[in-house]
Amino acid sequence: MGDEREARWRIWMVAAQAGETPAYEKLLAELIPYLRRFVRRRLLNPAAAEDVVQNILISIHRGRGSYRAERRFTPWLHAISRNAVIDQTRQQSRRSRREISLEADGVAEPSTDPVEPPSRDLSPELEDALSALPDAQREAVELIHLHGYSIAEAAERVGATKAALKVRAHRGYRAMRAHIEALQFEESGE
Amino acid sequence: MTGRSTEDLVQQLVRNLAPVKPIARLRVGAAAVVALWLAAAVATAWTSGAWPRFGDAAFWSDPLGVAILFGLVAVAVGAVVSALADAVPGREPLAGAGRLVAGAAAVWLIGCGLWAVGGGGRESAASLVAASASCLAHAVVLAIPAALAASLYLSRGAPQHRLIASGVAATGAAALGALVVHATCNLTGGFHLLLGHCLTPIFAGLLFALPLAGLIQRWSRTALGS
Repeated sequence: MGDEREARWRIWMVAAQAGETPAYEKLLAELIPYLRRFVRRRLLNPAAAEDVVQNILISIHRGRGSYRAERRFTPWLHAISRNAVIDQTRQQSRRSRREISLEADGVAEPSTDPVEPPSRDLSPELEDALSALPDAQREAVELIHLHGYSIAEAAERVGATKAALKVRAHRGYRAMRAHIEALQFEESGE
Repeated sequence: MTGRSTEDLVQQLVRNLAPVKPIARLRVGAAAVVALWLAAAVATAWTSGAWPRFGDAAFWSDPLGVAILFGLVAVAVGAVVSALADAVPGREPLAGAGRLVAGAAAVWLIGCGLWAVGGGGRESAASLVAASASCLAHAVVLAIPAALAASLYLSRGAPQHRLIASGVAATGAAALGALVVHATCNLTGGFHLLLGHCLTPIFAGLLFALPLAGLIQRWSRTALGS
């Protein structure tokens, strides 16, 4: 079964390198469930799994020339997938450290100053990404980044816990980043 | 949460599929780097008349000079192999081993340079700067063809971290250039050996990582037909 699949994927990949779209479509369609299982087994944050699967698919597309037909396909696929998981884990831990350090610096403490009205001099891409967010996430991002509320203040305003608000904001940032990356990807013509 | 579904992404990727040429074998890439380096070295020696002193017994009788030569060879081999292996997913162990060899050899070279500084005679600051800059520039010029060959190979592959791969490629190519310079240069001052010979690969790696990464990205887009 595994050997059959390996042979099938190898043939489809070689055909994809030659520009045959039906083979490429079949390959990517079969890879999606496989990659979802691969990523979910390795990622602590299951919410990020689908992002990583998409990143892997983009890496496969960009790096499709780095596969050589005489080598096995699965180790090549695993190497690309592992790299994407490692990148995601690093980004995650950097983000967590930044959030912890902001709290340690007192940035997250409630402010006693009156709150300035939001300055929405955002780029069209950011506006677009922000407006595509679900209401709860958009509210969290706006309160913290546009209105300048601390996490505690923003949580109190929306009637949520600090942890819940942080999760909403974090998911919002991630979705915005993915939205902007998708726009850039489309603009680059790939 | 990503703003588009994975299935939509697949459709987009399929729509944008263009034929690509598979990357060459690793050994072909390495052979291209070495061939271009040799061609540049021979052309430079031919035009300047300064041939490497490998046939000179005096060159081999200087233990410090020989130690630096072997250090440069190890940095060149380790860094070039590591950079090229970085282009091929699944060859990470080889890339890591190459980086380990190059890193250890770089430390060895710094040690040799410091040893030379400790035992060297006096050098005037002006002549030291001029001579070291000249050797450094010569090594960099000799490294250009090899660096371009390594970058072309990287642009056909899928390096995980383009900037690191390009820095390592620049280090390896500069070590190849410094190897020729070291074998042709007659100066023996300690600081000159440290700055003009031993540290050249490190300087070049830091200086040229970014421009090479840009070049790799540009070539990669061309190769993908976008």
